Amino acid sequence: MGLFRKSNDESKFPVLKQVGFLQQLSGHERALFSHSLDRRDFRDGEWVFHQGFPQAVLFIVATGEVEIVLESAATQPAVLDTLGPASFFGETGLFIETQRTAGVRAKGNATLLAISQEDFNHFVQLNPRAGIKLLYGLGRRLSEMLARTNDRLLELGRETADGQPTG
Amino acid sequence: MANPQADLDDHNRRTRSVRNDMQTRGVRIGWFVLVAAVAAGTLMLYSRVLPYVLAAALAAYLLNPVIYWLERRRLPRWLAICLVYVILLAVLGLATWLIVPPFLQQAWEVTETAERYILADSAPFDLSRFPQLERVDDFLRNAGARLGIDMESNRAALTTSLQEYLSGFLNGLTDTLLRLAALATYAVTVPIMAFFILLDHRKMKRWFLNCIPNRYYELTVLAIENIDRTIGTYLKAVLVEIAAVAVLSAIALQIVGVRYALVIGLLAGLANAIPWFGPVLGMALAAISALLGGGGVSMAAWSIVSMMLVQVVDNNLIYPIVIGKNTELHPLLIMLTVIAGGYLFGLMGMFLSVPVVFLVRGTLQVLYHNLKAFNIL
Repeated sequence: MGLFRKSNDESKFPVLKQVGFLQQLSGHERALFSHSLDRRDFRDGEWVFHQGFPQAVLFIVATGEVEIVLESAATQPAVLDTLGPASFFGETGLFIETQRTAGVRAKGNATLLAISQEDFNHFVQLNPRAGIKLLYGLGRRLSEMLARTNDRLLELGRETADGQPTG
Repeated sequence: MANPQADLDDHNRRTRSVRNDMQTRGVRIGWFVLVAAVAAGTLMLYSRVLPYVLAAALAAYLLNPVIYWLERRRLPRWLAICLVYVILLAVLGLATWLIVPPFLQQAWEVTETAERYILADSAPFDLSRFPQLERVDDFLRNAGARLGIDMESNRAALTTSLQEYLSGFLNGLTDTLLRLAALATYAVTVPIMAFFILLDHRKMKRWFLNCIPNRYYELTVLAIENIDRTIGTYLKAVLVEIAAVAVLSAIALQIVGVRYALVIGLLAGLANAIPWFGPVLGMALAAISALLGGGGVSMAAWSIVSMMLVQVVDNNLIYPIVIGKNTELHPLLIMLTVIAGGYLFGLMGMFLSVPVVFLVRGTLQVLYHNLKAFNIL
């Protein structure tokens, strides 16, 4: 029944130690976090989700690899990136209601760990100390992504400016 | 240049692949048929205890926010549940000690007053006032002999039907006792089941999600969260509204001077769960109570006015805040729902049918929205 069972078994998902935004957590906190995760096994080529679907879950790659695929009605799907173990995606869905900007499918057999927005909020509220570390880790990741996007926009701006005839 | 051996290998590989796909699909269909059969069998096996499970689930649903609040204050979940149970028992005990005696007193007075009126009406027809009726039996016996009717056999038939009536009455009594026993079983079983649901509902949700195919996983997660939000918001809102209307009605009737303000206020609050009909029922109860209590027509009129004022406060202040505009149903649909609920499940059906229809409609709306978003519909 588990009335008095204390969760200190970190070996349930050993990959969690390597996941960026979970590295600040203690072993016990990671073990607690692992109880909020759903394990999903995908076969080679199976879609995790398609582009445009509502975003409700953050996925962590436990084993295997997944491909980020840009789906377009006009052209063939284009693989943008491949993610391996300890990578994660879908973190914006934990904070805002939005849609998937690209599809994801398994490359070979893969195991993913999933956490929904509600379970994430529940974990943060019940474990505020661990929650702060988690939110800080995710904030850093989102800031890095924003910085990269800004750099890319700046580059594009410069390229556009260089390509235009001057005065 | 074409290579026949390579083409053959490619053809064989494709054939094997198609065969494997078909086998996988066959196994998958077989698996789903097996799961459906087991689910149907389980439902049949547990169909008799389904009301217990539903009542326990509802109780757990209503208690969960309090337990979650305690859990956030570093209390282990099992201890939070135990604490809430102890507090609930204490509150129920206190209510039994403080509220039930005056409630029963008022209810008894209502009954007594009603009986007094009915007996007063029936007094002119009291048989003891007509001694000549004592000779009816002799008259009937003589009339039967003159008309050639065997009064003795008719008397036997009458005795048999009387016996049947008495036996039916005793059966009814046994039936009532059995119902009381079932109620006691409810009172014991439901809290125990609610305890385990409260303790392990997250594990149950995990287990359920594990049974969902990958394709529908995210859809199911989103649908569960949205349905939970819809149902939770509505149930909490209805409870708050019932409590608010009950308290306001009791205060208003107490001010007017209606004698059974507590009972009528509580009943009016409960009746308020039925849109359109509930408030009218509350007003009727208040007016009847005022008349039976000897307050006269003016008190009955004032009690109706006070209940109307409660409705004004409810419709313009309480309802818009706690429930909002999203749960409005057409009055005709409400009327049909109340009638159908009453026809199928009696008084309880009349009370519960409208909330159930609200909840089913809300659930379907959420499901439809999510199925559209995931391109399944």
